[in-house]
Amino acid sequence: MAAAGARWNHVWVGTETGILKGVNLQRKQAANFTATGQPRREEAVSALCWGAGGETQILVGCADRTVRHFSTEEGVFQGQRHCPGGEGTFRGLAQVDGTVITCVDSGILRVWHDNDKEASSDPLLELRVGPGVCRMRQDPAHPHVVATGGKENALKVWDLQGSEEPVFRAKNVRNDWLDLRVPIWDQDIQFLPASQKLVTCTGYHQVRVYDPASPQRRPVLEATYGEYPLTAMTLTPGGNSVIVGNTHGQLAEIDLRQGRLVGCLKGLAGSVRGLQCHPSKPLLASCGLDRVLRVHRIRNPRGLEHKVYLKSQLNCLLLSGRDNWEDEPQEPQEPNKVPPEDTETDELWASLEAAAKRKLPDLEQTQRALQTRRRKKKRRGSTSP
Amino acid sequence: MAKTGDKSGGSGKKGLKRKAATEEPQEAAVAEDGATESGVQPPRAAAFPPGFSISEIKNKQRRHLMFTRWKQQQRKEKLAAKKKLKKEREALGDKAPPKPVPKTIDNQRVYDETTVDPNDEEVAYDEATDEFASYFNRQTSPKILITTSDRPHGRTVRLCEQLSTVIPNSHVYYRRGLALKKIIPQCISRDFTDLIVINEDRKTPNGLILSHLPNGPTAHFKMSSVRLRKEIKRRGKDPTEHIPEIILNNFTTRLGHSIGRMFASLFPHNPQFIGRQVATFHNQRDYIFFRFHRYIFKSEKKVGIQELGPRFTLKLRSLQKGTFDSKYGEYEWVHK
Repeated sequence: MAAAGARWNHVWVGTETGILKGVNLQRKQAANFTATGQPRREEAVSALCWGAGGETQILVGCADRTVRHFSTEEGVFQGQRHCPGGEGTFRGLAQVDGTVITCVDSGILRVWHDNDKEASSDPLLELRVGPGVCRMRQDPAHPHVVATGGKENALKVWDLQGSEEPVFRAKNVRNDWLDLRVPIWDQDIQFLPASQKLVTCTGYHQVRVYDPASPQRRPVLEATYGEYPLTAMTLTPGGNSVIVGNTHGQLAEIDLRQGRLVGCLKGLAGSVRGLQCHPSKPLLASCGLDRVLRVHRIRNPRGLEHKVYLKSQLNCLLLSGRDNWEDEPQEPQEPNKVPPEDTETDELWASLEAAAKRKLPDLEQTQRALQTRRRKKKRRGSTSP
Repeated sequence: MAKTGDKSGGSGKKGLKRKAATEEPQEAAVAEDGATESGVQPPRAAAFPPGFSISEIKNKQRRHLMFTRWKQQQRKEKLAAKKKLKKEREALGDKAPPKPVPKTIDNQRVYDETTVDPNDEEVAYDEATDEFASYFNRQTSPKILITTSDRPHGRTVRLCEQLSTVIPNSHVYYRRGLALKKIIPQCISRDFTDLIVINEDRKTPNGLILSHLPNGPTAHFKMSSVRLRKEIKRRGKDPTEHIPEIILNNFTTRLGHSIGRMFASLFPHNPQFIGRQVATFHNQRDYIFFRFHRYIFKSEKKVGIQELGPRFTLKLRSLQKGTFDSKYGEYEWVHK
């Protein structure tokens, strides 16, 4: 039943123990899905993204460098492919046109053909992005454009169909008031819709907006929040603000037009690992090291909607972007029951036929007669209709 | 009001005042209407205007008197009600309804959904593969480094010494102003499994940082109520070198399990029962009480205990994943 209802789950969460959890907020249930049936720490989920074909498939990037395909319709893992090369875990996973883009910690970005039948084929494309990558994000508007950034690895925007050089390479801000170089640590990147701009949040509690269209390679806007590294970021439905989370579990909404703090969200007690907003509803899903998935409402009124305790540390999440969040109607039980009955009667008749050695038309007559006899229990039906 | 004023002022006797108090404005209607009631009581019973309360009397002495009268009467009524209930229970005998359970803070608490179910496989797997797994699999035995914040005063130094007698295989080192982040790689290279740092403020220890070493979690506690050995009354002689047993009470939630395992991994796995020493970490309402006792069984059911060793109370402030890195580390739990 858990597998059958998997398509109606609202949030998919990956954990450090290798379990993919599907959470249905309407029914307040969480279901565990594992590839091997047992949790394994080697398969810790480090990246999640939607697969091809709407929201029917999920690509799960695990710590043992395999990308597994999970079908939400059936609720089973369908296949996997091993993506070697470089060191470290996956920092970004994306899919475009039947190919899978992966980026690992040491900076190797590879594009693989998404075909299970070919066993570990060579990558279609390989790029070296620079060591210490913390995030690779795909532009939802232009699937061939990806951005990467990390610790001492400035933001770079790559066009996978273009040349081997990045399309946009960000420049560090000027030296600070003590004339010291400001360190770089881009933890999360988002593409702003309806423009070419990008937003990054850094481990030095800064939120920066870059505009490749403008002549300056330095950030166009910089805002700071808190004193702790910002670990995750997501765009709000309006498109004017972002919500960031830091290692202390503080969530804040920052308006990008002015660079000011709009408000905070309370509740998380551990480091925020995954954040995602719904594309149209004012809902925010957040997960972190305190093992709880929370769904907040961002405006009117701002507050906590759902809280689900999931027993393992949560690494990343995917929020279903569908508009209809109501629970599906309960599957009717009758269609399940009728076929077994028919097979039983067929077997009965097959055995009777063998015993009585009757011809087919007689068999049909008797079948019909029996059915009529079944319906009209009280009357003794005659053999011929 | 004049009438009542006269009554209270005129008769200084308790009896009359009590009767005046009994006909307070809540029963003013009764006093005014019920001729029978006023007939039973002396006819000089005052009728207070409705909405009158004792606190409105301006004269402090009179107000105090009126209040004490009222309190005594309330107490009498309560006692009478109790006696009546007791009589009813005795009269009913076996058929009496069961006694209601008194409400306590622990009773009224909302059930914590993170309480660990002993049969839970996911949590069992999580614990079997976490950073303490090597200790619980008997692959490593603990080796503790105890140190303080820089330039400790006498109390803190003595606490460290006493702690090192309580925790077997522990070493106290003077913190020469070294940064923790530099101490930790050195500890790891010398095979230490845990680091305890006692923080001091104004000559008293007030904080404890417990860091499990290879790459384990770091817990930061607030320490209070520290009592050194000489401050403990009726204590036993100093603890021996035997490895103590450990008692961990009430570490039921998932966070509690992590902290409980952290404490358990400080002590070697093989308690020497000959030593009859036990270290207790008792968690109650998020405060962890540490006690160190020596016990002796006088008979099957009766035990005598002597408190040895230091005693302190801890409250968790944060649990950070990874070794000590307060600025850039990721926190599993922060007290908010």
